[in-house]
Amino acid sequence: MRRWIVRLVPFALAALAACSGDPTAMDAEDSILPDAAIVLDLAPAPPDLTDLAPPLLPDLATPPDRSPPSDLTPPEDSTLSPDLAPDLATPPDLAIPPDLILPDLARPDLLLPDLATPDLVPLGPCGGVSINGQCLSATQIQICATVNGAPQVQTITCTAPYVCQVQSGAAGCVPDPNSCTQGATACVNGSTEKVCVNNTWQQRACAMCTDTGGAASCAPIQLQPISGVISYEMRAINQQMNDWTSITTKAPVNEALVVSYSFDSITSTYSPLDSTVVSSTGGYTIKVPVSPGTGDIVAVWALRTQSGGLNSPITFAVGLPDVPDGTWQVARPIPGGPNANYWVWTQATSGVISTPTFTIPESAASGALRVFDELRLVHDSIGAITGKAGLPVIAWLRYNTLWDFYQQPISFRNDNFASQLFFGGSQQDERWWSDAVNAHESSHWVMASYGHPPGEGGTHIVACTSFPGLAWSEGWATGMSSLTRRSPYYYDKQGGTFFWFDISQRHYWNNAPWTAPTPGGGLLQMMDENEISAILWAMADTSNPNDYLTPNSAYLGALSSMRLNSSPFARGYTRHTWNPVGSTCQDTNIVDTGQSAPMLADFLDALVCNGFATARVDAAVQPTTRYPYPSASPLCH
Amino acid sequence: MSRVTLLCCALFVSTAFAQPRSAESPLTTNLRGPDVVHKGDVINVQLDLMRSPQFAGPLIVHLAVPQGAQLVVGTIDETITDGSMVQTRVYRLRISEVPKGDLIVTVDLRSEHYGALATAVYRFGRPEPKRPQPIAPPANLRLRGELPDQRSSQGVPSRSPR
Repeated sequence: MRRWIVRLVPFALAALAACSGDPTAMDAEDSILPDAAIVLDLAPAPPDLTDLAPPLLPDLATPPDRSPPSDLTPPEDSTLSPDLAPDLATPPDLAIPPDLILPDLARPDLLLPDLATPDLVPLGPCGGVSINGQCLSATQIQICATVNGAPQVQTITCTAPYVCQVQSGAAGCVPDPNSCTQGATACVNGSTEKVCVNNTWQQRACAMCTDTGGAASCAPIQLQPISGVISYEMRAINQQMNDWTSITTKAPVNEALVVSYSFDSITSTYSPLDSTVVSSTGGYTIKVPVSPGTGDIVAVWALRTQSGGLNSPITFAVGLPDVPDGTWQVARPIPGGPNANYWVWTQATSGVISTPTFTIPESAASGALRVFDELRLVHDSIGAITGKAGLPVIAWLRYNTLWDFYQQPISFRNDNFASQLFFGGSQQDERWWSDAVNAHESSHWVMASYGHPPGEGGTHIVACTSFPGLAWSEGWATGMSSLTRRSPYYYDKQGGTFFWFDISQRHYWNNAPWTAPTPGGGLLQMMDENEISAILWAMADTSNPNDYLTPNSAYLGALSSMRLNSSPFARGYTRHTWNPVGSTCQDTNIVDTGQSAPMLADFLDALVCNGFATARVDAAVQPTTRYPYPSASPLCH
Repeated sequence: MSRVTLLCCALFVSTAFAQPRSAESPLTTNLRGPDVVHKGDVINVQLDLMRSPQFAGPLIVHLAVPQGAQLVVGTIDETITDGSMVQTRVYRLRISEVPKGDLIVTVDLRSEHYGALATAVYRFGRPEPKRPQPIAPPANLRLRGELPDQRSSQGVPSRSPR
């Protein structure tokens, strides 16, 4: 086997490297390659690939035979025109340059099969395609080579950012003069910079642009404060108490987070400039660009962070899931999709500058702000009493989506939520207008945050009695909803039916009481959940409008006490499962799981053990005629 | 036959591992009629009422018949004093012109301390109108402005305020 070492122009080598698929060979820094050597095997025998790299160095150390090879003759079927025929007597450019840089030969990426297999020939009948090659197109090189000893036209593709170009008579892949290094920047003029994105220059605004250190530098965005009031359209229960009000009213966007963003048209990203929490009356002041760019926005987010600052963890939020219309089932992950986000309403910054006071209309789903407002009310009320925040919670709401409930911790958009709530999105019912429901669901979060949910749930119907765990959980939620809203009325709309009841009266129908507990039923008897709501309401001093939080404080103290957070729970109730039979108030497939669960009597124990007045307890539970709780003998830990 | 009212009436719903959910209405309604209606037809529309046992009081039923339909059998206003949990009423309508409006039945159950107003609708075969979703925010708007995948993979500098 005879070996020839041939000098190649650097860009030809780059072309071959570019075809190697090695991304490191494609870096812009590699566009300046040293002259290098390549093996030409002029013998027809298959190349010995394993023998290529190491022997190169000794070969280079010894000057090769520079005489033309004896077997270098044109094939008989050559059709080359005389002017294209190579000068066989003088092999082109076969001299070994003195400046040959050897270390590059050791680079694996320069010794890939592309280099070794289609061995180059100095001359050959390739139909006018020479060993020096030619540009077939902007990205393709055509070159004469031998494959397994036979002359053959080979096509090599230059991949971006390289293009084909003939230099010094030889075709090769050279850096595209119109290309750029990803992320590079440069000023176009005093107010515009260009940025290299995907090998293309794109322009964007850049105040007082100056080229510094090989990159554009922009002056800081000049900001100005603006102040205004943000409100949203809402509906409430009407006077007839049989539907929502027919006209909307305005309410302040109470303590939502407002963020000013600049928009980067090249990266399509938004960068926060300033943020603030809206006041309880909807007022806000925020900094926005003096000269806002196209795409700059002011956003109103339905969420609260721990410190109110943008970068603090989220305490509570209303989430917009990326799910379809219909019912989202329990077993499916909640609630993915690239378009999931927190609920947010945006306005062009230029528009906010001219009209800083604006209203989020009902058509823009202002109902999500009503959910946020009630979640905020419960959160703030409880936080004021306990002095500590509850579990981070996200409340999911999407119009036209109903939920088959599922509650687990979730990480969403890099924020961790230990609790989830789900609000039905039926546009027929518009339940988001029900403060009673919103506060009820939020009160489940309160129990999850500070207490121990009994773990009983599922379908339950107004006026039907429930197992003690479910009755406790639901009764707590409705009772706290009323205390937080300072109203004994609970109201909801489901499937086109609007309904309401008054927990302070303990009866639904013409002086007929709801299914009351009986003294003989014991502490673990089935209960109407609203009886428990009524007990919570009755124990509070609701005659004093300013004293609603007093019982709440005691309630939360009991809820978070060891007595109500240590299993097994002293009253001995164990969690059950069952299947309800329609709306008949009957259950089947009842199973006692044997797992200890808290219920009303455990809560009353904790309350009394903490010093709550037994007279208030007795007046509410009415032990001789209704629920036989023995306030004189609580079970305290 | 189309089911008009959406309220779930599944007879058996598993509660194993179920989580808290709000209490369901004690009064549900369902109004069913033909999926297709033609001029000259005489159709039957059935009202199904279900209520929980504790709500045995009188139900005040009102029927609103749209233009193009005439009530042949049934009454516009009725008070149901029978305290049964399940009630059924069949209304027969003559269609002189396919109505553009809806047949609406309201059922009122009310006391001093409790109230329920159920509304059931039959649309003569028209699909239930669905409100459009509100305009979505920009898809790439993130609270803190981050789009880490895009930035890290492409290395494009974002023009953040300095």
